[in-house]
Amino acid sequence: MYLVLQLALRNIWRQRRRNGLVLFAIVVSVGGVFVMNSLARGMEQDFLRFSIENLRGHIKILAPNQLDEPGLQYSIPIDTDLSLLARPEIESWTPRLRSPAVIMSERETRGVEIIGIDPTRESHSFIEDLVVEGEAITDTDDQHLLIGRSLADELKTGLGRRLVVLMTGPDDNAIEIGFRVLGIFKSTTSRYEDAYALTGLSSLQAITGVDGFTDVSVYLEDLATTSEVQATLASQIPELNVVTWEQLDPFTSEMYRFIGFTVYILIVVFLGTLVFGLINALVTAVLVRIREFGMLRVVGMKSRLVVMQVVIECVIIMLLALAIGLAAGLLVIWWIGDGIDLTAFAAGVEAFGMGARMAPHLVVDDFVILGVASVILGLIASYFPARRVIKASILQSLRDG
Amino acid sequence: MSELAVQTTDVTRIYGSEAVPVYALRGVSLSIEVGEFVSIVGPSGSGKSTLLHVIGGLERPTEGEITVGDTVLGSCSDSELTDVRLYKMGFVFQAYNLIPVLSAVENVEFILQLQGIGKRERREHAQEALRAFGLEGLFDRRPSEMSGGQQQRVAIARAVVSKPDVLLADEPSANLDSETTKEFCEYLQHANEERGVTILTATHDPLVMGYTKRQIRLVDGQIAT
Repeated sequence: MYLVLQLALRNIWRQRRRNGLVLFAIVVSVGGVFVMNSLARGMEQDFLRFSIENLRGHIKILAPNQLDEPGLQYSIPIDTDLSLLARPEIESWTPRLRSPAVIMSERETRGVEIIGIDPTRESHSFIEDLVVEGEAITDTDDQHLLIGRSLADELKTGLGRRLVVLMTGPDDNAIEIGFRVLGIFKSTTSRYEDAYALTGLSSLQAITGVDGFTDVSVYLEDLATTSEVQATLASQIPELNVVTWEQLDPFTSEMYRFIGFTVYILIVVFLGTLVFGLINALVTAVLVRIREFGMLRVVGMKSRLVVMQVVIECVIIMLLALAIGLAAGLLVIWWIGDGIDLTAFAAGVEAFGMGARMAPHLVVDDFVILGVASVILGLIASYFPARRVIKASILQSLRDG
Repeated sequence: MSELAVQTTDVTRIYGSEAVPVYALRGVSLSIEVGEFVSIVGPSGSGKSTLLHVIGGLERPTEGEITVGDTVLGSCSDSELTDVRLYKMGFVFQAYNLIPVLSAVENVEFILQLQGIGKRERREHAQEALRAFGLEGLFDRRPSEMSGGQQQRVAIARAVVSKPDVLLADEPSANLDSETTKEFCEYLQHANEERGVTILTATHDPLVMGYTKRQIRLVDGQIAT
């Protein structure tokens, strides 16, 4: 074995220019796949995060009929026992009162959703990250209105100005409420800025006369427990609707799955292409040494040792390239760690359910799969040149070399 | 009666197709005794190299039987033939055929390494063989750093280091000038006389023939009487 390893290492060094080029090609491919995968995983996480933080949570408990007819007509009574949410899988939960509404300034009118929140419980939704100009909602009793910058611009209104909100009350009668805008928020996406107007939960309950909430968002410690927790909750509170984020947002759910699948397609396509190039380069590298291999067989080197030498040469190059490729990939990922700025395409990517920055996300399993797949491909790629060596007779090798 | 190193019986080697057969050897029968230094001579295309190849187990005869020592080559598998070449034969070629990435001493050691001999012992044997062929001081040179004559001497050292039953040399002087050929032949003679190696060389170089004790003449694949 030492003999074969010694010969392999020296031959790699002897053909260092050719092997260097092969190595470089593998480094670029492996590093490229690694970075692409990390970006795809980042997109995947973006889709999930946007869906979860967009007031859904991993699981949502809804008043009956809220799914079909969102509004104040159907609500979860305030005295509903929610102590069943004190489970180890559940990180936090928050109740909200939400209603479609029309919001009017003295100059413009827009459709929005008005939401009564408990700000102390919104640590997992986008509300936690809002940058507020003026006064934020700090208490459930806060009576002022917090609207997004985009909406404020569309309504041509500003801090301290009054707005009128019109919505359908629990008894199907129209409710018209005047609010003063004391806060304007900026968010990571204009979608939130356009769509929501926020106020205190207790305050909205008092104004609308709804003694409860329209929904409760539940945030889990681990995404993987979603179905299990949903099933448990559904069996414990059969009178309410308990649904997962995937049921509420099937498009994002499908995109999430699709990207997960795409990651593996990327690995297969890139490495598949790589292996053909590798085989070609290795076969050429072996053919120029065919006489040498013939001579090794003449003096008594067994065919399996000759094959082993070719395979070891390939695997060494592959492992070296893999290590450098992964290190280079990690370097690039670190370099673009804050994400690639997609602001120029913000409208498009937001509509697609992504943020304005495409940030990489490392998944250890992908790292391992890429590493193992590369080594296996190295072995497969080395089989063909090794076969060429063995298929030729000794004399043919000596003559052709 | 002397012990035989090599015996061929009615060895025929046919190339080409069944429709157009090309006879490289036609029923060659010969016996080489242990310790002989024999040259196979004849014009180009007479079958000299083919005869060496079939004796060396590098290709199989179409018909006939070859025995090296007590081993009948026809009954050996490819793997067993490799072992026969490793343990019983040494080869010297026209093109030296040294391993380019190994130094002179490593090239000679290579055979012993394949035979599984320990590092210290094989290093001693290899250095001794190189010294015997006048290569003291060139142990660490790679083939590309040596002259043709020096490379050919390394090739003989490699061929004899494991004390093979037979040394097969195929046109060993083809790339050497006359002075180097003479020197080379003296080393072959040394291997034959001092080390007792049986040598069979294919050549059409009269200088090489002059050093051998017996000449077998091949014409059109047959031994000429």
